[in-house]
Amino acid sequence: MTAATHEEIYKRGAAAPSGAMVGVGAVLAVLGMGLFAFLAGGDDPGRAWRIFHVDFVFFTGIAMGAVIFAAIQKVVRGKWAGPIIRLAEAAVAFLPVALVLFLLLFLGRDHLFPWIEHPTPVRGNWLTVTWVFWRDFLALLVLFSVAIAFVYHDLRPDVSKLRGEVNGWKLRLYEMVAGSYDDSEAHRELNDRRIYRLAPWLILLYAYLFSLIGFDLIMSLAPYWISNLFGAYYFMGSFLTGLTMLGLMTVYWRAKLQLHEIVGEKIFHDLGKLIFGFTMFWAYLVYSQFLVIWYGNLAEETSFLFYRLWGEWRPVGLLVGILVFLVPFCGLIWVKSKITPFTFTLFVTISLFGMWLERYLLVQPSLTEMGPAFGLVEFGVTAGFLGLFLLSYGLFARAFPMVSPRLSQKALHSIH
Amino acid sequence: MKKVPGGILAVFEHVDAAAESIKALKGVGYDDFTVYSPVPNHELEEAVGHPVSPVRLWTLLGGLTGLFFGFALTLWTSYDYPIVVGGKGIGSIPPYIIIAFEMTILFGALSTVAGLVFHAVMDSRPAAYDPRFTDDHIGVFVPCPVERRPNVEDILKEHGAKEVRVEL
Repeated sequence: MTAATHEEIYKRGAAAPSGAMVGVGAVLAVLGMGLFAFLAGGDDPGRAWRIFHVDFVFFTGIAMGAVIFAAIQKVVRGKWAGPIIRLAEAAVAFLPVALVLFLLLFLGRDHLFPWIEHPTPVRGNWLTVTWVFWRDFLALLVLFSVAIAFVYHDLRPDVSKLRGEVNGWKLRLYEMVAGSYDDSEAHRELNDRRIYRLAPWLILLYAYLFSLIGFDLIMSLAPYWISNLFGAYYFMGSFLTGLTMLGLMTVYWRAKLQLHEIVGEKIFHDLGKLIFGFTMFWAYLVYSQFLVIWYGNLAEETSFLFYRLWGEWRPVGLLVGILVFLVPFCGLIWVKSKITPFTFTLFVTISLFGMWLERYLLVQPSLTEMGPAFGLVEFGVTAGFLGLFLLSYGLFARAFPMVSPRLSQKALHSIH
Repeated sequence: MKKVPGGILAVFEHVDAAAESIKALKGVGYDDFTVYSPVPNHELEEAVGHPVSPVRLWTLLGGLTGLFFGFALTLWTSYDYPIVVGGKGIGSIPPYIIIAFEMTILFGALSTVAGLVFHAVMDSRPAAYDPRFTDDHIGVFVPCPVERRPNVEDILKEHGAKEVRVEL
């Protein structure tokens, strides 16, 4: 636990071995997106677009949720997550990709949004192509810009400190990001002030704009069904997926970068507690919405649940409850299972997969008479999205330090 | 009240000295000592270790009792005096989950308090004391028979106790 070994760790963090992640990501992205392009031009483009939509809301939610975790740490002045905070911030690299994917979504609008073919006069002009796509595009643009600015300011001091450890293109990149920052007291204060100002704005914008995205891109698929809770339900679920993704990345990079000295049992314990807590919160939101719909028993409200909890979709509906709530709840309630990397990874993966299935369950039954279908189309396109995510994450890891010296030091000081 | 057993009371000025002594004491097999600190401190906590509290069993049993009681109460009263409300079945689980959940919390909380009181009274470990422990000193009291006292005294002094005295 000497200072020298910590310096070694920070050096390794600035030269993260991201080859495997970039390679796997690139292969999956090319294959998956190629398959999608082929299918979208084929006989049944609707099926390809539907799964594209599911994956878009799922992966955008992961990336944004993870950045929000970092922002929350700043707002509450949390120090414990210092060594792993960059692993959450790295997901910011997927956001520009998400914006491009959103523009692509515009091409498939006729296959997705039922209100284009059958306009909904009861909703006034709220659901029209121009208005929906412009406002959502601007919402994502603003949100992603603030997220990127936030991560940029959190990167600057670390990049400036580690300038001496890198060379070539990386040095030029570091010089560019660090800019005039020179670790003087004044610069540090100014930079911190910007971080602490951006973080709460980012969280507020996330809550407002991701609610809008949830309403526009998921709830409007069943345009006569209304739930005021839906926006919150979507962004809290996304936050949970962001946390679970961070959990998996922590396990991965801890082994890859040999971070055992600075990422100990305590971090897994705390992360596990957060995931456990938000698992319960997810169940609470589902239940609180289910209960009022069950009680009110109004046809326009119950139809949404009937489609998902009875008939063909029943197994998927039950599976979502089991995978997102029941299994992680029973699994992560123990201290031992949180701090053991194997069980932690197992339950976190189950939760993440369950959340994907949940997004699938939210989107699909609104759009198709078809029951649940899991074939090459679904897995292929999802693999393509996973590939894009890993590729952008891996490229971030290749470019920037994955361990923040100053935040890790703060975390270690706060323990003693 | 139980009687304070005889032993050694050490007064420390520094946290690390106290933590080292605690570790050394544990190293030679003492585990029934009492540590005083004017403020909560992670280093001392770590040195003392985290024994699993028996109170959590009370919480679990109380919570499960409450869960059972909540469902039993709602279902039994519904079937005992059946009235159809809002077109729902007589015994409808969804709203009863709320009652059961709240009973779980209520019974869990009450039995936790009961467990806390029970163990505080039954498992209390009277120990010698010094008023400085609420001010700026850390105290370690080791109950031990007369023949082991010199040994314990040595350990405490060796690790930087400011003052060591024998309590009869």
